[in-house]
This record gives sequence, structure tokens and C-alpha cells, in this order.
Amino acid sequence: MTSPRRVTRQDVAREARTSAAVVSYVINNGPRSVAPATRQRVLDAIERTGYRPNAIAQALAGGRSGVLGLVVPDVSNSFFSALAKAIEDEVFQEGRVLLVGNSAESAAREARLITSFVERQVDGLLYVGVGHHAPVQEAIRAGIPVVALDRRDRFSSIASVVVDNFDGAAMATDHLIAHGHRRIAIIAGPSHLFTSVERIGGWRKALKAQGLPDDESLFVEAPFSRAGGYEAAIKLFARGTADAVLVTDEMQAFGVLAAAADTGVEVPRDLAIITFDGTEQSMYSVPPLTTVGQPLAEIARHAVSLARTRTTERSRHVVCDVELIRRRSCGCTIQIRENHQVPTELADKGGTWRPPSKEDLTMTKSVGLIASASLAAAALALSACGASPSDDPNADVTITFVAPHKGVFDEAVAAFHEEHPNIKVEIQILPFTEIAAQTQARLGSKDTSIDVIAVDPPRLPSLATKGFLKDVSADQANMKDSLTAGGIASVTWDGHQYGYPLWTSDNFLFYNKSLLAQAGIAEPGADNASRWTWDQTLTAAAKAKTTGAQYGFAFEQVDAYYALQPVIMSMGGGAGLEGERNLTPAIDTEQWRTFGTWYADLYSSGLSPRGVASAQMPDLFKNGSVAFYVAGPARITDLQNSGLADKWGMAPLPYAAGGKVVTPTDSWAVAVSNFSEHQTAAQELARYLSLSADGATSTSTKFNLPPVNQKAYPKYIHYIDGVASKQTAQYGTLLTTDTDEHAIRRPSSVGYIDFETIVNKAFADIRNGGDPGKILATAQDTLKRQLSQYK
Amino acid sequence: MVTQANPRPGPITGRSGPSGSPSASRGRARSRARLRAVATAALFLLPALVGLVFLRLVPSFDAVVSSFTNRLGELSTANFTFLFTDPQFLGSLKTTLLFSLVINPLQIALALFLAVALTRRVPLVGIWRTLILLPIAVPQTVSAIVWGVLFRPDGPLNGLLGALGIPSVPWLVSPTTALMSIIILCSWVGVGYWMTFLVAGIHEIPRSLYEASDLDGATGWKQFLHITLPGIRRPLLFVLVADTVANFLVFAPVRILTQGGPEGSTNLIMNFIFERAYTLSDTGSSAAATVVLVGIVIAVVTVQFRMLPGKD
Repeated sequence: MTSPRRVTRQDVAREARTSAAVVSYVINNGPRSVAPATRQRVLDAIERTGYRPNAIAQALAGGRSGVLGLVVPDVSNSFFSALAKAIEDEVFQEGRVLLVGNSAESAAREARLITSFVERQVDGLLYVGVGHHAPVQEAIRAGIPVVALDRRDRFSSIASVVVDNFDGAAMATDHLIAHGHRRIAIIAGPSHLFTSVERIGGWRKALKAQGLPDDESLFVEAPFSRAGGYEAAIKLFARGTADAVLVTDEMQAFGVLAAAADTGVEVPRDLAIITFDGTEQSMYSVPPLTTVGQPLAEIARHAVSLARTRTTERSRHVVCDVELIRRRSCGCTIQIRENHQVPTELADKGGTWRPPSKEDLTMTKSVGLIASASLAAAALALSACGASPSDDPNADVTITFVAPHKGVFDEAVAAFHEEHPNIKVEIQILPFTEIAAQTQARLGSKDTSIDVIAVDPPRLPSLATKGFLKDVSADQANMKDSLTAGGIASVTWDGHQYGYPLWTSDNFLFYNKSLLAQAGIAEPGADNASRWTWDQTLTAAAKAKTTGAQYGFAFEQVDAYYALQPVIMSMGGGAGLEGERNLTPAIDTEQWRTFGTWYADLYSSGLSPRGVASAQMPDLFKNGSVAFYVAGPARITDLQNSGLADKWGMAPLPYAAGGKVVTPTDSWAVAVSNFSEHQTAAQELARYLSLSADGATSTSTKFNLPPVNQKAYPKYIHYIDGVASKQTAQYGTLLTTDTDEHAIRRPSSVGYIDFETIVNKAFADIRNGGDPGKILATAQDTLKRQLSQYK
Repeated sequence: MVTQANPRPGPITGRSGPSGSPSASRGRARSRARLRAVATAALFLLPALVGLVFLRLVPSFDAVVSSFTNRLGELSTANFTFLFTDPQFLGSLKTTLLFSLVINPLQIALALFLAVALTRRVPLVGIWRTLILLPIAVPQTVSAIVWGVLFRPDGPLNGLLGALGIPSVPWLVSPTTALMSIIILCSWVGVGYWMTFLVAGIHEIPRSLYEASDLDGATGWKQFLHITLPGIRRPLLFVLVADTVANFLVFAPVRILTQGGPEGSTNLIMNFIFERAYTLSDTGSSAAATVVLVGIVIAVVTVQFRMLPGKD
């Protein structure tokens, strides 16, 4: 064996008394099969001769280098180094090598790393992205499988492995609440990161569920580092507002502990802490950190396995469960550092985590330190129960879903079909203006060919009273689990739920930056505090009109009660329907007439385009004819993809000077037809679209409206941030403020459809130059006549 | 009907039997032949009759019944009482009658003028006729949307008027001009279609009549009055009746462009019926309005038949 010459395949072949080709087949496991006896002979020969295949030559010939690339934002971050270690373990077991690159949270450096990995012909590329869109296209073009870790871009086709950050944060916050804390702060990571947004969402949901504050004074954003955590903690201590804090990154938590030590804050007595990640390091801090542990080995296993298949249109997305590892920093009295192992291996997978009662906390000392978070599992089981139709669970059914939103549901429905292969869904798209009349006509004749219907919530009472819609109150508890209270309220009539809400809505003041600059108008501020008044807005609009804007101002939804109700109510008017069961019209009031004159002037002065239909409005704004434009968030992606890209901004909806701020709310829901012959399957689809985070995320990011599904909401905000980061910097906060403080829903009434029809017509007549007083009086009479039938 | 529609196999009915007198057997054969013809006819008519019964008569009967049924399901005239005290219905009735009074003479006169003009020796006559007929091939919704853009206050029509120095017209956004705009749109669609029937009628008139009258020194106007007009009496009657009915039933442009506004000025009766039935889900009064509409149409058409003389 001490031959000076390198042993070659020929030598092995001679030794094994076979051909060189057969040796090759054995080494490469193919392409032809080799008889077991021959195979053993070759293997023995390799052993005796000391033959080593040339890895570089193999890479050149076979296109496999045996090297996997991993790019992380910061190798010194304990979580990323633990993740790298777990992946390396996995890769090593397969006899391959891991190349690790450190992008240092820099997109440019990330791009260079990826390029050089591709040049080195890695077999697969794993990465934790820095920004929204990591430059992995190059790798995909080279046919290299790509897997996103930790921070996923759900909207790309790239496979991903992430953990359930939302549930993790909610679970940790619940735990702090169970300890009796009421003011629970969060130290969050950079808000453009998927993980941060999700964890903030979970924190917020848990607080809202208990009616606890989640205001700005409890929120600090900091980079994922010890220094970041330290500074954030000092800021938080200075405010003196929090008695507990959720720190969304372990490195930050070490900084927080240091800051606490430096300022004499005792953890957990003065400040309870729970953090994220759960690497071994968190066990040895003082006090040991209670943490939301990520199952690193599981993540690594999924990641390496996904890195074997090429990126395709429908790549897999894996979401791993997290678990709460209780130690002392949260206030639990656990004396000994007991879990000296990788957290995942200790996990008691069978247990269900529950916020412990107060008595429990002091007692818990020994086993069951880690309980697996099976909230998600429970939800899954629940939907699985619902999935089995009572009659025949496996029978193939085709259901029809009628909606006005073209392209919004396609992806979600395809995913639903994948989960429920026996349910086929046909989507029928009807125009927005006709869907109400069409469903009315078809359900009125007990048409069985509609199973699921999209409904604008104020219309639910009327449809429900007529017996068109299935009462789905049995799902109320599930709705409360995953949807916002406002969303559930929008589908509730007489204490029953008649649909599953999908989104909520709001209106904003969009503006054309170039037209404003041209007129020398300062752009309106984007936050709630700098909200403009209507006078301010229309004065600026008039000024823009004199300097080149064809129109100064426009409502996207022309003559729509939805868009105009906030203006009327801000001017001090009523909703227009009042009295018992909202069946008494009240539109002939002084405030309504004031509004009528205001609305008429808007068009007679030429400030707004008279005679342009709602459907043509977006184009008018996009082609630069309008300076100020009131529309909903559904417009965001559309604007950014138009010629107006980056030349638009958005600000809060104006209010009447001296009046209160009022914003619109509520959006479409999906309901199950009472005449459907496949109600179980139909309800399953409605559930999926509303209650499942995946379904809700998909439709809300397609339609750009915020989901009422709390788990989908952070993903939606993250998506919007990726579309137009600058313009929407304040969007999430503003939306929350509007929803919590300013939103007024349209009146709930069996006569709402009549009301809306008649009032919208009155608005149209006023816009066209009729006398507002006379028109409102006539409409009031018509309404009285029309609504009297319901009394 | 179904039982009659059972034709016997040919050999048995087609041949006279060896027994019986020749004349009797001939008579029997004739009646059998007639029976067979009736049966065949019935068989061919069956699909149409079934369609007529189930798609026309049954729904019509249904509509009449529901027009006389109140919300509690009792027989009553409440729907009609409601209608004839409803300012909106009365308004839409008035609007519909005004619309018919203007649009029918206008469309027929235009169609007649174009028909006469395009049966003269005009260069490229085929192309002109095709262009005039083309709008009928465009779906009504599409033409309504196109005209919606044309009619916009900042749209191309006003642009054209502006270029000619004419002040712009508010078209669909003013109660004084909206109905006129709908009339323009409907005529753009309809005139070419009605013209086609009249063109065919004019071609039926023997050329010799014109030649003879030429020799007698008749002018073009006289020829039109005494030859063309009487010659196309039958197609003209058809156009008059069909156009009147069609214009009572105008719906899509109104629904798409104005929804009956501004201030009810274009609220044609079909739009009223649709809105009551499908937006406000008041089937009773919409059925009643439909019955009223059918009554009006039958009355008007009857008068038209009477007005045009000629038994054939």
C-alpha cells in the first residue's frame, strides 16, 4: 500500500477481477446495477488498494460536489451558529461538507456569497435572507436546489423551513400573562424581517385576547445583537412602563440581562423575560432564560432533505412547531439547570401546552419542563375533524364558489384542493356591481348551484333573514381563536354568525408626489398624528389643480356609502339609519345636507371628475391626472406596479375640522348557501379561506386587504412592506390605530341593501349637480316607504 | 300530443289493403296519410311547443300569480296598489313612454332613410351597409361600456365638440341629457339592424315600376311616396312592431351606464323591474310591473296593427 503512484480505478478493477466500468458503477451506485457478490468483491478491492475517488473529478463528471452552501446573516449570533452546527451534523452524516458564509446582514455581501457558492458548484444552497428578495435567482438558474431558512419569502416559489414564530410569541406572552404581568413589552428585531413581524403579531394577539395594552410605549425595535438588546433595555427602563418583556432574539436577551444588571433591575422580580431561539447558551445565563425553543435538529433535517430537489413552481414550505422551555427568567421557580441537552431531544411531544395557572407555577419543579407546543397540531386535528363530511367523507364533490375578486382565490383554492383532494372547487367570478343582484336572484329561486358565496358583510342580515345563508355559529369558538373581534362582529347578526370574515378594510389618502411637488405642496404626514383635515386636503387639491393636475381630488369608490359614511360622520352626521333594528332612515338632517353641499361642490368646482365610473378611477390616478385620491389598501401593489411606482405616497384619511376622526372598516366574508347540496364541503372551504393562516395569507396578499386572521396579519404586513417599503412604513401602525379607535362599521339592518341602493343613488344625483336638499328629502321618503315593509 | 306523435311504419299505412271497395280503401288511405302528416308535424313541433310551454307560458303564468300575491302569500292587489302609488314606478312609466315616443319614430325614420340611400348606386355600398349593421354584432354590454367612455364629461365626444367650438354636453350626468344619450346609444345599435329588413323589402319591389314612373316624369320624392313606401309595407310593419317591443325592453345600457339616474331620468321600466326584483328582492311588485309592461306592449302593438292598412 505504499505505492508512490496514486491508485486508480484500473488498479481496483484488476484486483477485483472485473472491468473499470463495474468499479465505477459500484462507486457511483449506478447507472447499472451490480450483482451483490461482484459488488462486495469491488468494495474489498477498494479497501485493499486504498483507492479514493477523486472528489473534484467526480464533481466535474457527475455534477455533484458533495458540498452544501449555507449563508447566514451573522455567524457570531448564537442562534445562527447553533443552526449551522445542526445543519453541519446533518450534512456530515451524509458524507458531505458544509460551506458557511456570513452575509453580515448586508444584501451586497449576501449576493457575492451566493455567486461564489454557485461558482463552486454547491449541491444545494441554504440561506437565511437579509432582505425581502435574496439574490438566489442565479442559483436557481444554475439548477441548484435552494432552501430559505428562518426568514421565508412565502410568496416566492423557493422552498422554506421556518418555525411558527407567531404561535411561539403568543405562547410566551400568554405565559407572562399567566405569571400575572399586565404590561408586557416587546423588544423586536428589525421590522422588515419576516421573523420580527410574525413575533410582534403573536405578542399583539396574546395581549389583545386578554384586553391588555400593546401601545407604542411597550414596543422597542433593535438589531439582533447583544448591543441592540442592551440599548433597547435601557430605553425600556427609562420609560418605566413594562413589568415583563418578550425579547425576540437570544442575543438581544443577553444584552437585556447585562443592562438589567448594570441598572440594578432584578430579573425576574422587577422584570420578567422570555426570549426566543433556545440554544444551549441561554441555559447558562444568570438567571437562565425562559425561551421559545426552536427545534434545530428538525429544521436541519428538513432543510437538507429539501435541498435535494430542485426549486419548482410549487416548492414545499415546512413550518416546524416551537416549544416553551421554562427556566427562571420568567418567574418560574426552577432551581437546577436540568436540561443539559439539545432542547429538541428532551421535548415531550405528547403534551399540550397550556398557560399554567398561578398555583401551578410555584409547584412546577421537576419534569415536564418542556411541553411541546401543539396548538398548531390541535388546530390541524380540528380542521381534520371538520373535513370529514358527515355523509361520506371520501365521496368526490365539486362545489361552486361565487366571488367578485378575480385571481384572488386561485392560489388558496388550489392549496385547499391539495389538502382535500376529494373536493373540487369551481370559482365563478361576477363583477362587483352585479354580484349582489345575481346571488339574490339565484338564491331567491333556491338555486343549488351556488355553494360558497362572497358577501359584503352589511348585506348578511338581509340574506340571513331570508334564509339564504347557513348559520355557522357552531364555529364561533374557532373564529375567536384565530380571528379579530371586529372580523367576527362583521358577520354576526342577532348573536349568530352567518359567514366567515376574510378581510378588514380602511381608506387612505393616496397622493401623487410629482403633482404635489409641482404645486409646492408639502406631502401629508403618514402617521395618525399628522392627519389632515378635509379643508386642508381640498385646499391643497385646488392648488395642485392650478399647477397642472387635471383633477385635484377623487374618491375611488364614487357615490359609495362605504367611502362617504366616514366623511358624513366626521362632519357630525349620523349613519343614516337609526331607531329600532336600524329601520328608520335619517338622511334628511342638517349634517347630511351640509355633506351634500360639500359633495356637490367637489364635482361642480371641477376638483373631482364628474361622470367617471369607479372602475376607471384607478387608471385616472395611475396615469397622473389626480393629485389626491381616497382609496383602500387594495390599491397598493397596483400603484407600485404602475407607471406611478415610487411616485405615490399614502396618508391617513382626512377628517372634518372640529369633528372626530372616522374611518371605514369591514370587508368581504364568505358564506355557505343554505341551498347547497354539499354544505359540509362548502363550509370546509369557507373555513380554510378564513380560519387557516395559509388560506388567509394567500388571499390577503393577492387582494392587498388586511386579513382578520390574526396569524396571517403579520405575514400580510410583511408582504406589503416588501411591495412598497417606503410608502407603507406607517401603514401597519395606522391601520391598527384606525381599526381600534376610528373605525365605524356600516349599520347592521335587514334593510341595509335597500338603504345602500337608495343612498348611493342619491349621492350620484348630488354629484351630477342636483339640489342636495331636495334629493336627500326625496331619498328619505323613498327610504321610509321602502323600509316600512320590514317593520 | 305525445301519444299522437307515433307514426306507423310506411308499408301498412301507405298501401291500400286487398279487402274492401277501392273507393273506401282510397278514402281510408287518404285519412291515414293526413293523420300521418299531422303526427309528423306534431313530432317536429314538439320541442318548440315544450319550450314554449315551459320557458314562456309557465313563467308568465307564474309572474301573473305572484303579481297578485302579497307578502303573506294571499291573493291580493296590494302589489298593484303599491305600484300605482309609488312615485318611482310612475316616474319610470312616464320615462318609458317618453323614451318610446322619441326613439321609435327616430329609429324607423333613420333606418328608412339609410335603406333608401343605400339601395341607390352608392360606391362601396356593401362596406357602408356592413359598417352600419356592425353595432348589432357587438354585445350590448360592450357597446354600453364603450359609449360610457365616449360619454364621459372629459371623454372623446366632448373633445370632438370642443374642437368644433361647441360647448361640451353633460351627456349621462345631467337629468336633461341622460335620456337623450341613451337614445343615441340605442339607435347606434339598432338602426342598422332595422335598416337591413327595409333594404330587403326595397329589393323586392320590381324595378319596372320605377322605370315606368320615370317615363311618366315622377320625381324621386313621388316615387318614394307612391312606390317605395307601399312596396315595403309589410317589412315596415314588422320593423315598427319589433322595434317598439325592443325599445320597451331596453335594459343593459341603462343598467350599466346610469342605473336609472340622474334623478330617475333614465329609469326605464325594465331597470325598475330588475332593481325591485334583484336588488331589493321584491318579486311581487316586480312581477306586477312586468304584467303592466306586457299589457302596455300588447295595447301599443294592437294599435300599430290597426293603423297600418292592408289585409295581407
